[in-house]
Amino acid sequence: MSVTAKNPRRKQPGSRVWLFAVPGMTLFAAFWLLPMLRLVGVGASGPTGAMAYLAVVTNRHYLSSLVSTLLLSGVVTVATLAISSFVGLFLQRNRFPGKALLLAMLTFPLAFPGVVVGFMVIMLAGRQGLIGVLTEKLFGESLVFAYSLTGLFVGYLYFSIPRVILTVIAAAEKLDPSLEEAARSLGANPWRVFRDVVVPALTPALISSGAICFATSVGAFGTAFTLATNIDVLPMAIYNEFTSYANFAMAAALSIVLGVITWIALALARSLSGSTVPATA
Amino acid sequence: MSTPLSFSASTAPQPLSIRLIQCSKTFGNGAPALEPIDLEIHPGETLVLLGPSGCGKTTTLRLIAGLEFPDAGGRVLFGNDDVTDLPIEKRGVGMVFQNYALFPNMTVGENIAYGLKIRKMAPAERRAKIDVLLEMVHLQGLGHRRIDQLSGGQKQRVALARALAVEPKVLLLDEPLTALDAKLRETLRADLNQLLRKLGITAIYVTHDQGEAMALGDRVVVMERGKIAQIGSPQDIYYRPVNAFVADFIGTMNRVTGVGRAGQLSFPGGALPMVMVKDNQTMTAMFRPEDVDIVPLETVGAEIFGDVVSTFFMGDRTRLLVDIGAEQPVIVETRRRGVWHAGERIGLRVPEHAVMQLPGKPWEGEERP
Amino acid sequence: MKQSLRFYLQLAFTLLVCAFLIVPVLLSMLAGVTENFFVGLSSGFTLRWVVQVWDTYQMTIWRSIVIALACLAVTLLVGVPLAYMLARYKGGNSRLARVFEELLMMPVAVPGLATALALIMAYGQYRAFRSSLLFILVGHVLFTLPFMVRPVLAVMQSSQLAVLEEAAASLGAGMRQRFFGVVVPNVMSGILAGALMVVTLSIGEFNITWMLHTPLTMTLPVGLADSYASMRLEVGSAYTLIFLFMIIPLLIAMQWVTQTTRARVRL
Repeated sequence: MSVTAKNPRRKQPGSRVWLFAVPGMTLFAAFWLLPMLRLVGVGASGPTGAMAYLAVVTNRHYLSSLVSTLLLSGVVTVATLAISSFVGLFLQRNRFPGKALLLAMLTFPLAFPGVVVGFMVIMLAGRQGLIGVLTEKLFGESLVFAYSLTGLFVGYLYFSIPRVILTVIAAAEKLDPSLEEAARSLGANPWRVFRDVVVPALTPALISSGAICFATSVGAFGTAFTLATNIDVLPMAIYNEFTSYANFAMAAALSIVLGVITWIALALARSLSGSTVPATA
Repeated sequence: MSTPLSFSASTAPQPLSIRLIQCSKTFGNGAPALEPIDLEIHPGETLVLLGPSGCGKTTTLRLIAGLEFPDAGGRVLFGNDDVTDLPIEKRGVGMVFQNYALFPNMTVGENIAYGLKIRKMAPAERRAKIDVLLEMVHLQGLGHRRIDQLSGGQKQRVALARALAVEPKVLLLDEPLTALDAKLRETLRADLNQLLRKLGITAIYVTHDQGEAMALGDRVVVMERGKIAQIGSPQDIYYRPVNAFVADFIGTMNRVTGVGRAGQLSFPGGALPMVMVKDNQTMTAMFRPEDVDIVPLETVGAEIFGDVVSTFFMGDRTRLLVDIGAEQPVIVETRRRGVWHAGERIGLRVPEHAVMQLPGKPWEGEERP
Repeated sequence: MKQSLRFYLQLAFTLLVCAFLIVPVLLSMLAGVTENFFVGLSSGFTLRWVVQVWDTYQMTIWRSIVIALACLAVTLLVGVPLAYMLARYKGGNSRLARVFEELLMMPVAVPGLATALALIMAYGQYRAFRSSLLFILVGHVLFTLPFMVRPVLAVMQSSQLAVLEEAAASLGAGMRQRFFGVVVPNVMSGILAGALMVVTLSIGEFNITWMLHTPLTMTLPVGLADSYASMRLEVGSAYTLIFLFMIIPLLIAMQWVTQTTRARVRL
């Protein structure tokens, strides 16, 4: 306990506050920190030893999983940013009847776990899905893409769009209207105002929510699981290693690698926005 | 220092006159922000729009700027051109905002040159112009600074330079000094005044600070609740306010209610000279603190006696709160050197010319000091 | 005219996105009460699928509720004091506090899969623990704790609260008295927001739970995955319907809380 040099009897105010953190951090250490450290060890306990950690790039199968995962997540991020910015800005700037309802509907899927999103994709693009039925009626051949990377893409879009829309709206609300008025007073037309004032102001929010979107997609499991167990993304590969092949070491190593990737992406997001809105999928 | 705006005489814009004809503005929630007003602004003058918050002064400025459009029937004229339907980006005004509205993603120089870039001026020309403007606002050499590295006073000057860069026909200033601390405000006010005089540009200045208004304005428009209360020179407004609101908003006013008796206004503590009051008529007189004389108690014919409630020594003058038996204590301001104590009996005299009788209700805004 | 055309085009796109998100939900809600989805609405409305879900998966629903409430209790007891430490230790600026915050976020930053694997590797051998609901509860608490700590911490860090505490201290209140008498009552809005978030997340948690569950400790989302894989579309839909009915009130409550706190609190 810290004491002041002048008066050893006087306690510093709140010097025992650290006690308040004991239950929480003990829980955390016991059930996450130590097990996680142990997992790192498990990852290096397989036949290839610590080289297992490099397997993600050395092994062709895992490398292709990683690449698919990263590519898919990247495309989802770009598509989500584009769509959500468009919709978010539109909603923030216009007032019309039913806007609150529209916004509620657009952000409602935020709470869906990945499994449910997967099911939604099936409802949309599965064998008995809406698109399948419509295309059958129109073209005679039903279009079914739920059980592939395309389906996964749609699923990831599904839970990413609401999130980013909210971020864009929040950031757009913080835009200082006098900046736009100043630009206009100097002769800027709406396009220039958008380019010179709005976009630079929104960029940090876009980058940070893009990074969160990316991290979520990379680590998502539930959606892929629902759609099929043979979609080749890294979380599924980890799952298969663990359950089908009982290859604990490999599963451990791969999940550590996956964890590092998502953590880096989120750290980037946080450095730009100061707070992470974490993801579940 | 180089010539005022380094614009060659031939390209210097001729000062513009502005007219508002029956302009009113009602916003979505129904309450009118501005009742229909007519306003004429002379070329080259600095017109100050003054009033408490909600009086419509900012709305008026925004109508002139083109950020808002008047309700049906209102027209805005720049010189002989009807600009009512033109949005701000087409009106060629220069605007300085209360919180400066400097673009955070651009440097000082880029901010200043933004309007020029839009007008597709060549980079070399732009750079030269930036230098001229920086010098004009005493910010030489700061062109490469980022906005967040500037102090409040510097930001305000960049905002001014940016507005002037495009050689606007009229300069609009929306409470530009309000965000600054008192000392800085005084210095910048003087600089601004000097600059506006030198440029000879038509300028419209919005403020709620009456000291600022009187220091800067060629004419002052006092506004209240969406209407113009009075337009005139600062002296007109101060010495000859047309109603109680204006009188009370500009400077301080004492108020004494009494009954007429032989050309004087009688009240429990004494009497005030007031020619216009009829016998037995109840009236309220108003007079300024600095017009009250303190006279020795033995003075024959001193009309008012009172007890000092409190004193405030302000260095160059002393302010006294004196209870003279009227409905509230009067404020007396004197430049005499002297010390007065609370509880002291004191003699006061108010000259006849300083007593005003004004219609209307006084401004209910602030507490009296 | 050009203005409103742009408006309508943007509106149309927005509505399209909205449809993309909502139509499957509506379809699935419909499928849950339709006799035969493939045939369509003409096959008639029925609650038999809902009944079937209830018969088969009833326990999962109760389990999810119990776990969510237990999770709430634990995060409250553990998280609120933790937030207080983070806000007040060494004036709230200590490096230790930053490290703790960073660590707390890890189970969220890292995929649930990894957290679950770590737990299994570390504690899997304790059979009794492994096969109990407690195992799943641990996973949920790890995941939801930061969601309780963050809003509470945010409110605690407001200068208003610090001043109130100082006033209480000047009147003689000790640390425990200040915590229970001044801090907790004033951070209720943060606690409420956190509580709703924790419950909603716990009910929907899948990634961690899937790895940790056993056939005897299935929760609702795990049951959902099971039904999607092995049951008719109508059954899966009915099950999803039940899930949505549980979630929607929570979402509405969360919206309402953010509305009212935004009105009162200047951030």
